[in-house]
Order: sequence, then C-alpha cells, then structure tokens
Amino acid sequence: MNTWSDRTVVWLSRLTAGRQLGAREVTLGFVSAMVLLLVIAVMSYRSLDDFIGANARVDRTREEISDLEDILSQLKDAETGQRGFLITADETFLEPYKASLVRIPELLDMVRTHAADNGEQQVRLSDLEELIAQRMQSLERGIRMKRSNAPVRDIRPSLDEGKTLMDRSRALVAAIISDEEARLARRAEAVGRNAIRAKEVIVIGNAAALLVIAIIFVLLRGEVARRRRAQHAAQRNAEEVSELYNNAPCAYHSVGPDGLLLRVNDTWLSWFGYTREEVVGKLHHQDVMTPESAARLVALQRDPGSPMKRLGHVQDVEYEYVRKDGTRFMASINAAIVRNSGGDRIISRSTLFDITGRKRAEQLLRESNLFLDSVIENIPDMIFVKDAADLRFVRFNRAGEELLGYPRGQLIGCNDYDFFPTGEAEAFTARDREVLANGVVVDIPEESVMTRDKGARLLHTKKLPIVDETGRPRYLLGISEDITERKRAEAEERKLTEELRRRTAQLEVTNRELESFSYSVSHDLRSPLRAIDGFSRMLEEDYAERIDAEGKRMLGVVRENAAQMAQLIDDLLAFSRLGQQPVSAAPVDMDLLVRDALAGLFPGKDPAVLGVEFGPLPPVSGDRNLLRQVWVNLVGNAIKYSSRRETPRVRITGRNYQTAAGRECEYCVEDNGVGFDMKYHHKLFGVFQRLHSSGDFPGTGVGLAIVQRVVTRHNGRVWAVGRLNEGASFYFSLPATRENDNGQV
Amino acid sequence: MDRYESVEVLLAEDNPSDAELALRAFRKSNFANKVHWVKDGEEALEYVMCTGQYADRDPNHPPRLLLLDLKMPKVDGIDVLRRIKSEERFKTIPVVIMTSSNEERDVVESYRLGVNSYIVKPVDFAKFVATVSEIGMYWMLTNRVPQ
Repeated sequence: MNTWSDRTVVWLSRLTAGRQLGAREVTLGFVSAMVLLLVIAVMSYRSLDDFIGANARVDRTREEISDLEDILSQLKDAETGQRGFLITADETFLEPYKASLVRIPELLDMVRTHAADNGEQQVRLSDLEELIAQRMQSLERGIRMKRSNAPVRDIRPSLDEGKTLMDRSRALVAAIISDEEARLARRAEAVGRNAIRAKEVIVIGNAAALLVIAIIFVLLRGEVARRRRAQHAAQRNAEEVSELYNNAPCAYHSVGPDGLLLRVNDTWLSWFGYTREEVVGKLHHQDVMTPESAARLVALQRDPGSPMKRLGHVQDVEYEYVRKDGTRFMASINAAIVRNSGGDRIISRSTLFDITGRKRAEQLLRESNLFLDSVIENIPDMIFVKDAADLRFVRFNRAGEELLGYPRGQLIGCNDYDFFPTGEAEAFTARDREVLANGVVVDIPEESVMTRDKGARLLHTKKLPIVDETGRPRYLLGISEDITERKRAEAEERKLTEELRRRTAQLEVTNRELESFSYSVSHDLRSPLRAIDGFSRMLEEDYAERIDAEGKRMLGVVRENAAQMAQLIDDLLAFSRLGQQPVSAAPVDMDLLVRDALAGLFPGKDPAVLGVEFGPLPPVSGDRNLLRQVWVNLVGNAIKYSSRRETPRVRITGRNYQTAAGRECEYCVEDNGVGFDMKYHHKLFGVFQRLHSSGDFPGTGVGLAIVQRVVTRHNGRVWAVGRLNEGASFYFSLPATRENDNGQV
Repeated sequence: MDRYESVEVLLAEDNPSDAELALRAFRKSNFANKVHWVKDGEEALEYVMCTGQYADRDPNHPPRLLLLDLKMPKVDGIDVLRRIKSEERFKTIPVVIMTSSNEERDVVESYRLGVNSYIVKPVDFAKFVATVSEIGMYWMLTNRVPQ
C-alpha cells in the first residue's frame, strides 16, 4: 500500500512539478472536491430514498395483496358462517359474518389507500367493492330468510348467486394482485437500475474527489515543504545577518533620538573594551571620543548646514576614539539618519572603520616619501624624471634647479625643447627614446648642456627606464653629474702632469749631464793635477842644481795645492755619489763600527792613546758603509779639532728613547777641542763650508755635509752644539730597529 | 824588417802629459825602448790588428802588454778592450786599464769585458812612477803568458 501511495505521490508530484500552489487553486480544488462529494451524497441519498420507497411500495403491495387475500378470506369466513347458520340456525355461526361486515370495509379502505396512485386498480377496487357489497347483501338475505324461516328452496338461489359473486370476486382479486405484482416487479427493476447508477456515481465521484484531494494534498505537501525550507532559509538568513552584523570587520552602532547608543555590534564592543550593558542606553557617541573629536562631533550635530542635516548621511569623517582602558585609536565613520514615515528622525546608524593601521601606514609612507624626497633633494647631482609618454619633466631635484637655472615650477610639465637649444634638445630626446625603447641604462660620459646662468656645462649623465609592473617603461630617470669643474681640473692636471713629465725629463737630462760632469771631473781634472805634480817633480829632479831653495819651496807649494785639489775632487765625488747610490738596510753593531772607523783613521793605534773613549752604543739598522763614513768623519773631526789640547778628549755615547714618531737611537761625539761659535751653526753642514782655515786645520769642508746626507738618507737627524774654544758635541739620531725595542741585539 | 820588433808594451793614452809621465816612469825601469805610445783607441786597435798605418807590422809579434786609458777620443778604452777580448787571437794579450777614473761602474764594466788589471793613476808623481814601474815589472817579468 505504501509503495502504491508513494508511487502515486511521486507521480502526482511529477505531474504537479514546478506548479506553485496559490490560495485560489487550493480553494478551487477543495470546492470542486466538496461539490463532487455533495453530488455523490445527493445521489446516494436519492438512490437510497428510491430504494426505501421501492421497498415501502413492495411492502405496501404485499400488504395490499395480503389485505386483498384477507378480504377474500373474510368473505369466505362470512359465507361459511352464514352457511353454518343456515344449517343450524345457530346464531353463533354468524360471528365471522358479523366480523367481516366490519373488517372488509376496513381492508378495502386500506387497499384503496395503498393503491391510491393507481387509477386502474382503483377502478378494479371499486368493482371489487361492488361485488363484495352484493355478496354481503346476498348473505344477509339468506340470513333474513332463515330467520324468517323461509324454506330452503327459497334460500337456494341466494346461495347460487353467492357462489357466482364469490368467483367473480376471486377473479377480480387475482387480477388486482397480478397487476400489483407486475408493478412491483417493474418497480424493483427500476430501483435496481437506479441502484447501479448510484453505485457508479458514488464510485466515480469518490474517485474523482479522492484524486482532487490527493492532488491538493501533494501540492500542499510540496508547498508546506517549500514554506518550511523558505522559513529555514529565512531563519538562516536572519542568523547570518545577525552574525554579519556582530562580527563584521567594522564597528556598527545606532544612536537614538536622545543621543544615547541604542545598539552596537560585537566588533564595536571588542574595539572599545566595553560590555553591551555598559554602553546601550548609557553612553553617547561623543562619550567614547577624545575631547577634541567629541567637540567636533557636537559642533557638527548642532550645525544646521552639516551634511548630516542636509543629505541625511556623512561619509569618511575621521575621529579619534578612546577605549575603556584609555588607549586611543583613529576611526573613519559613515553615518546615515533613519526617519519614520512622518519624516522624523528616529535613529542614526553609523559604521566605524579602524584606520589606525592606515594612519600609521600613511604616516610611514609620508615619512618614507619625505626621506626619499630628502635623499633625492640632497643628492648633489641633477636628478630628473620624465614621463615616458611625452618626455615631459615630472620631477626635478634642487641640484637640477641650480644647474639649469630654472625653478622646478617652470621645468615640470615642460620638455627639453622648452629650455635647450634645438640641437641639444634633439640629442637629449633621441637618447631618451633609445633608453625607453631598449629598456637599458645608457651612460653618456660627457654631454654639453646650455644652462641659463652658468653657460654651457659638461655633464656625465646616466639615463635609465623605470618600468611599471607589466615591464612597460613608465618614466625615464636621469642622473647628471656636473663634470665641468672636474674636466677643467683634469685638463689642468693633465697640463701639470705634462709639465712635470717635461721637467722630470729635463731633470733626468740634467742628472745625466751632472753624472757625466762628475765623471769628467774624476777623470779629466785629475790628469792636469797629475801633470802639475809630475812636471814639478821632473823640474826638481832634472834641474835640481839650477833651482835655489826658494824655488824649491815654491815648487813644493805648487805640488801641495795640486794635492789639495785632488783631495777636493775626491771628496766632492764621494759626496755626489752619496746622492745616487741606494741605501741598504741591515742590522749594524755601532760599537764594532766605531772601532772599525778608528782603526781606519789611525791604523794600529789604541783609541785610549788618542784620548777617545766610548760607551756601549745601541745597534741600528742601516747601510754599514755609509754609517762607517759618518763615524770616520765625526770622530776624525773631533780628534782633529782637539789635537791641540794638552789632553785631547773625545767621548762617544749613545742611547735610545721613545719619541712621538717611535723609538730613536741617538749618538753623540763630544770633544774638548776648539769648538765653534753657535752663530755659524747653520754653516756647519754645508758643502765646502769651513769655520777654520786650512792653515789651522786641514780639510775640504765636505765631511759634515757627507754626515748630514748619510743621516738624512737614513731618515735621521743631525745637529751640533758648541762653544768657541770649549769643544763641540755632534749628535745624530736614527730610527731604532725593532730588536732595540726589545733591548736585544 | 819590422821597426816595432822590439816593442813589448803598447801604451794607449790621449793625454801627452800623462804619456810623458808614463814613459818617464818606464824609462826609470829601463823599459822605455820597449814601449810604443798610441794617442787614441783607434790607433791602438790598428796596431794590435796590424791595420791602417800599422798594416805592414808583423802580425806574429803582438804586444806583450796593453796599457789602456779609458777616456780617449774616437774609440775609448772600453771599446778597445771589448774588441780585443772578443777576438780569439788577441784574447790572450794582457790588458791593464790605467785611468784617472775611480768610478765603480768603469771598474765593473772593465772586469766584465775581461780586463787583466785595473789601476787608478795616482795624482802624486812618486806614487805614479812607482805604480807604472810595478806594472811593468809584474807583467813583463813576473807574469807568464801562453806562448
């Protein structure tokens, strides 16, 4: 059954699929179903009624038949009783007769009533009544005759008559019954037909009603399901809306006409740190603002010309809010007034967006931009940016303004043709196009640009494209360094370098000449001296007897001077060679070196005998041969200039000490000789400078010059302290070796 | 007949004074007749190689000692030294540089080219005579050369 009904439902559902069921359809369906049922009910009632009527008629007919048979029976009883009376004269036999006299008319009335609708039967009944009445009269006559003791013969005719009447009555009754039965059969047939039709109507009508109801049921069921779904959807929607309202990423609030907050969402509460109970109906909008923002809001609310008043809404108004814990945040607010049908303001609804992050980002961006701007502004090279589309300037820095001589207000929006000679502008623009077309950096090592105030300037320019996210060039960035001064300086430097090179070459030539000169000196000047000496000797030898003593003395002077000149030449050559030969550096034991020098100066003599004493001398790093010459010259001088003392004394000391420049070794040669006047101190170390005549002390005046040159070439210093006739001290200092720092050799 | 038959010392000296002094010194050592004086390097080479004005000289009689001044006109002493020491047949001739130059580079260059002795002429005449005499004695008498 279920399967069947389910199938039906499914089928009906298919049939009615997609049909919307409106109230009219439902009403129509139900009305038609009710009409059908009503029709069925009426028909059923009528059919039943027919049936009942037919049954009643059958009963009536049966009663009628029974009554008719009863009438015949009463007649027979009356006849039988009369006969008995006739035979016996016993009155008791007349009892049936008397009863039938009452009963028959009653029965006849009943029959007549039953057959009231049948005229034919009424006629027959009237005939029957007539017959019965004749029979009863016949019987009465018999009775009266008997009573009157009439002979039997007299009575006899009545008997015969009675019999005829009886037969006729019987026949009539049979006809009536037969007719009634025929009618009964006809009626029963009609009732049967009616019953069949009623059954059909009931079955079909019920089926139709059932179908209509079923369709409506299915449709209704679908509708109910649809409504339930719609209701669920609506409920979900409402929940979603509520969820959306409460958990929106922005804060919502509504303000009532009294200015108090009416409704706030959860976001609002979480932002502000209040509970709903603390807010709703208790706080004004301005109560959660900083005093400054609150004042602004209140002023706006009072201003009749405010956008809120004029337009009914405001957008993107920024206020600073205060959380319950006192911290602050910035929010942008959109608000709209909600009015009732009468146009009165009932509430205003506001949406708050937290813009603290945005503000911070804006601030950072501002700072970042400021920083970048400041960087660009302070770059000492000209920075310019051109729009890639039309090559008009969109950016210029201060160095650019200063270089070109135009304020950026004049530059921006213009292109090269507005400021530079056509030729230059064409060249610049061509380069720009090249940069933008190839998307590469172009380096222009040198280009000329005509400026307003500074004339033509030379620039070193780099141009590069700035591309957008799709890789298309948007801007052209240019960086130009003004290299005019540098170029000028470079040219100057080149000139100087050239000059220097020329002078160096000259100097080299001079040096070579000097070298060749000293070579000549060493070679060519000595030959004449040798000739002077040699020929003087030859003169002495060959002409000895002709030259007197004075002549010989003079020849001696000639030879002495020649020897002096030879010494001068040797010393000069030694001095000049010092400037050329390289200075080697090796550890030098100064004690040994001094002994060596003394042994060279005075071979085989004990220093003590010479009056020379020396303490321990710190070793240094230097050129042993050159330093030996220093000692030879200094010690030689000291011995020479103290040689006239009764007890000549020469003391050699040394020490090392720390200076700002590092450790130094200082050596001193002190004598008690003739000394010198400090006012001639500056002449001591000059070449060929002498403070004594060669008559007093022999010498060429080169020794101390050599000392100074050697010490200087060792990065040392030399100086002297002296007093006339009281001796002199000659000092020199040299940079100490590392070994000296450690106190080791 | 070779007029240079007796010559055993060739003196190349452009300075006549120096030459005279040298010759006087040789004379004192009794070498004077064995010394031939040429005035420059070119002449020295011509003598040694028997060319030029010395073309008729006997090449089988090379000098036993060559005294060379360094600084001479035309061909200087160093060049003469180089030429002589670079030719197999003259290589064995002892060459003594006798010069006024005390320059180290001259000394080094001379020894590099194969000089047999390098003497700086003393300015003092007595020393000069002694030196020349010593040279003559050493190279003429003491020293032995391949035959």
